[in-house]
Amino acid sequence: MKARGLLSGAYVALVLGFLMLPVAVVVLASFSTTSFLTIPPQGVTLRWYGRVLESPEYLHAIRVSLSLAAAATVGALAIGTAASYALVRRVVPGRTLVASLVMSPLVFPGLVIGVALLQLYAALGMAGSFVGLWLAHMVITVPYVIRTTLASLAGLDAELEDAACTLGATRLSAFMLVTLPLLRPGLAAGGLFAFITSFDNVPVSIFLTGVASTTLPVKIFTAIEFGVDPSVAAISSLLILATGLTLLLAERWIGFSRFT
Amino acid sequence: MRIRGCLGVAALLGVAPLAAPGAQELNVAIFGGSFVDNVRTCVVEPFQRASGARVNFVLGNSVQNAARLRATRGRPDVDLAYMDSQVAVQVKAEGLLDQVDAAKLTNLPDIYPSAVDPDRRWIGYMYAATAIAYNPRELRTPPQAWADLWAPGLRGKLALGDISATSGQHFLIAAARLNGGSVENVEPGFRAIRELRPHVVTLYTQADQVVQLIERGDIAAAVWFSDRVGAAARNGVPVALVFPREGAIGILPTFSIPQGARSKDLAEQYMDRALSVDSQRCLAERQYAGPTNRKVELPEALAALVPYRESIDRLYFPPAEIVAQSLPAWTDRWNREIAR
Amino acid sequence: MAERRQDPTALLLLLPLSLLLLAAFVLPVAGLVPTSLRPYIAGRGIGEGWTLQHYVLALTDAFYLEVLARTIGLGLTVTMLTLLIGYPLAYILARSTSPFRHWLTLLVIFPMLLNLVVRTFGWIALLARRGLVNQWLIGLGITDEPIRLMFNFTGLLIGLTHIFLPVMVLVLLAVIQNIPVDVEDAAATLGASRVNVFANVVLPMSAPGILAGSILVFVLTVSALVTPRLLGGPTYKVVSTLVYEQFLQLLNWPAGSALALLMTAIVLLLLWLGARLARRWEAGA
Repeated sequence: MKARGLLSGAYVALVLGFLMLPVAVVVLASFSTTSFLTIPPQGVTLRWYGRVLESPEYLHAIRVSLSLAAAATVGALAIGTAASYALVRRVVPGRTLVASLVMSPLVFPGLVIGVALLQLYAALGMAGSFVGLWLAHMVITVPYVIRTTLASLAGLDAELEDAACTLGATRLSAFMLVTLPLLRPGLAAGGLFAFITSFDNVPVSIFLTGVASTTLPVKIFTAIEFGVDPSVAAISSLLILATGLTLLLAERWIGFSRFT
Repeated sequence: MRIRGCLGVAALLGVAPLAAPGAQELNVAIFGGSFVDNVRTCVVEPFQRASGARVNFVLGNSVQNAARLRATRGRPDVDLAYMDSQVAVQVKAEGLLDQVDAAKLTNLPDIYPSAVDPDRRWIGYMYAATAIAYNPRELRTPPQAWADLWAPGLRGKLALGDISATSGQHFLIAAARLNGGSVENVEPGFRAIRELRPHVVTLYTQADQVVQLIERGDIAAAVWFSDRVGAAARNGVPVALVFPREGAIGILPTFSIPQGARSKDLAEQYMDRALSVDSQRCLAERQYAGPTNRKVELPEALAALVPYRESIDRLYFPPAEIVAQSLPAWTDRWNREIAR
Repeated sequence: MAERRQDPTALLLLLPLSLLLLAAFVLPVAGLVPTSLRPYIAGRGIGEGWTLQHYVLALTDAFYLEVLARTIGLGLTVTMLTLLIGYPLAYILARSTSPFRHWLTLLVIFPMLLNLVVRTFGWIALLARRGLVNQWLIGLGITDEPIRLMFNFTGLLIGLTHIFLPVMVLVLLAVIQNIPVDVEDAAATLGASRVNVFANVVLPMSAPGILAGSILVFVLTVSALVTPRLLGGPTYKVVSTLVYEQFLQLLNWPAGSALALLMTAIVLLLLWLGARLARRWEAGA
């Protein structure tokens, strides 16, 4: 038993090490005194962090990206969960086909979606609007939610809900009080993917960002063309820090044991 | 879940634009990174002070900006777009660009005529060049000509631009001209580059990659952009510039006003500001951009690093229309013969 | 359970999704179909008239077919790799009783929070000819010459596996956690060996997760753009970088649209076949 425990521990450490390697590299690079991104870093300075924290454009871009990702995630969770439920619990003709087709926004090249949507939006006079961007982001995030909730729902016993109904609950409250809590891992995973996809997205967003709402990843991506300085690494490190703290606080208040 | 919902709604309300862009706003599609920072200092700030209008930037490279114009045909969401000349001529051919009112541009007469579209649909605001960059710490006898890049001494230490980068296209043209060809007949260029390919360390697609390559010691020389060399050297990268003897290849970045732009008047004022002596000198100092306004005076040290006055004549500017028309065929051939 | 009549609730639940996809995906993409059938004149723009040349080229040209095969091959390999590496990790985390379990899960999520572009830069620094990995290998005396780890299949494989491993792990984790430990214990009590318990109880019960994770990772790998652009470079192209080239370097939207539509159709077909197979496997098991 001990050996197995050690083996498991070693395996986890190895894989996590692999996962953290580029993260460590980038965080180190953010301290470099050189004006270009270099690893291992030469010298140590907090100059880039200062520059990022003072830059109004970076801060505005972060705000836009955060609100966009939040809005897209909420929408995707609502729409996706409803659809998954229908696909699993209800009779829908061509279920497998529908489930596969729903993946198409992920398969189809994002930048082509962006260009096509820009054409549509421009014709409708809503080019560059936040709503337009929100719709586009929901399109590319809802497949995640559907996939993860489908997987979760498939593993759940349908009779649990039926039992609740037999005991007098309405369909809706049976869903809210019985199924939904059991779906938490699937919702958490789907919601997380949705948020990260939206927050990280470049190909779709690059054409749909309006004049007032450049998103953070687009800003970083376009910066590459004209010189990547360590402030890019700095902002990424700050984001990791902020997210880590948020997750920590969320764990304290909400408790992850409810989600994982 | 509920918290997220509230946040979402609040965020939507907070960030959605509350007012449509008015007549006092100018939307510009421009290249990102340090370029836009320098333009902000040299052009936008004086422009905003003088006109009271606000400038909003949408970031993208030449082709991305062109794609935006094409997708929003007739109802563009920008009033001004920055594009390199070979992209601008294509966009013009698609009927997407408006004609600039010469009366509104007080600085136009001072601009070199070759930098201005005869139809006034695009105007060049700076000169740059595809030239040779090298690490002076590694090479005691630096290459002085395009031909020197085939020398055995540089084998395994050279980087070239991919065909997708302007420097790749330009090097193809340079190699063709070197071996008896021309921009219309690049066959000798392909042959020569094929010969060189096994000794090339990498084909870069992003201009910034060269900095990393030099810094890590992977290369000692590269075909690169003159303005990048200056900016990198100022940031401490060990790199120096050589305008090759046979002639560096000239680059003409331009800006244009799309058809149907909402604030054409403001856009013309912005152009005029960008073409003024002060803004041009400022950009030369910060971005190592060669001025297109012939009245600009530059100190000697800077003049050696940028295309300026006589050195402009030594540059070869490939006809933009021919480059635009040939690019797909070049790219296709490059993908199969060189990039593999 | 075999009610075949129309189910109004189901249709109502599917309505928002249908509206969203129709308005913001199907409609604009359908608008690209006519574009894909037009000729393109370099230097002039999109031409008049109709042609199938872009589709024909994509399906018959050796170069395009090579890139297509390479993309699918990469997708399958990355999926398998993330599954092989990720499943044990997900299982260990799901079954762990350690108080650090949540923190470890957080560590799995962490790399996903790092901006994709910058993450790829991290890999470039590690995999370059004089990057950290080669430095370590040479320093430890394992090799004399630096190994080529970038601009080829290997580099892309490592980078993509790294990026999508958390996705696979999280999906599997969510599903494995829903398998009650009692089921495993029950099987063990009945005399099944650990291997038997795993193969005949856990594995089949986590099949939906394996399917979901595999589909996600495959799709994401095949449509990834930023990482192949930076780690594959111009020498190692995949379909998405070809589409990028057509759309944003050559402005050849007809060819780009044709390629995008073709690629989507092929991948969806593969997904559908895969799902059908999995369903049959599930039913048969």
